[in-house]
Amino acid sequence: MTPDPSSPVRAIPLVLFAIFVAFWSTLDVASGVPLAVLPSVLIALALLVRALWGVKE
Amino acid sequence: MTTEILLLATMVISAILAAVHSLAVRGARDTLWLAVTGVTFGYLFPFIDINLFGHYTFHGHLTVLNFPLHLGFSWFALYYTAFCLGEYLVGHLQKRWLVALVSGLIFGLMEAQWDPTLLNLGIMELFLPSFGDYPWNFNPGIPFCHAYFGFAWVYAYLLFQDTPRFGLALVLGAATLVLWPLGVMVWVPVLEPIYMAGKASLGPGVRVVLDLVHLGLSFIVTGIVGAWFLRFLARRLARPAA
Repeated sequence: MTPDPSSPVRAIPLVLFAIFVAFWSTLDVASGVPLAVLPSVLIALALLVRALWGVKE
Repeated sequence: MTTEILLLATMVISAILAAVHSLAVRGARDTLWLAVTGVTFGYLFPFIDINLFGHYTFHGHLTVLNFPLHLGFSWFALYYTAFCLGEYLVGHLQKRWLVALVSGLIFGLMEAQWDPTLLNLGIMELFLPSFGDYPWNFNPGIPFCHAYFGFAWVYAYLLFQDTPRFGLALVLGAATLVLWPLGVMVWVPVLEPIYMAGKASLGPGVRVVLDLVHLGLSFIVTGIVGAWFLRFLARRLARPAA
């Protein structure tokens, strides 16, 4: 049941992650816990590595 | 209050987006499984936690009214995000346990981001005993338990998705998620005296390592037991109903 490759639905997981990063990173910095951003950075790095060097679908 | 309203709005929007994606990619039946177990567990866990072990664990400011919103929507939306990212990272390797493991670790990392902030803001309180003294009582090993939740949720889904007895699988899958909180919280009263004795006699570095080892080992042991239990159930449920 894979959606059409051009369907915007396929981008939703990345949108969800972007919402997570935007909301929590803003809150982390604003509330004085900037180091709490680190986990998001680690996940984003893993996604970047996969996008750049991962197996092509 | 504004932060809490923003948090709720973000989580509700995320849950809706997650449901849209799940319906398009996995279909109505699987979306129902994922949503029901995610939301049910998001509600069930704090209910058990506060009623049985509230003295030892957490949640100063989460009220009964907030449970479904704070935890139900957020857990479905955030679990689902971690699941999709796990699929993206290692799905091509065709190993269900690996997808579940990576999804769980991503969920643990996400939890490691929001816990300190919620604790700092006073929206949540943690009372889990530990060897070390941390700001806002945050124990650095706690993300491991969320990693287990994410792992068990994804693994149960991947194992049960083709079972003919879907309703039973749904109930059992949700029950498996409770393994960890029960396992950890039941032994907390036993461990508390050990923690208190250790605090007095150990150096700060040793205390942090011990906390990480304690909950890290719990993640590994509960993960193996949970995975074995889920595989056992999946084999049983795969048989046609008599």
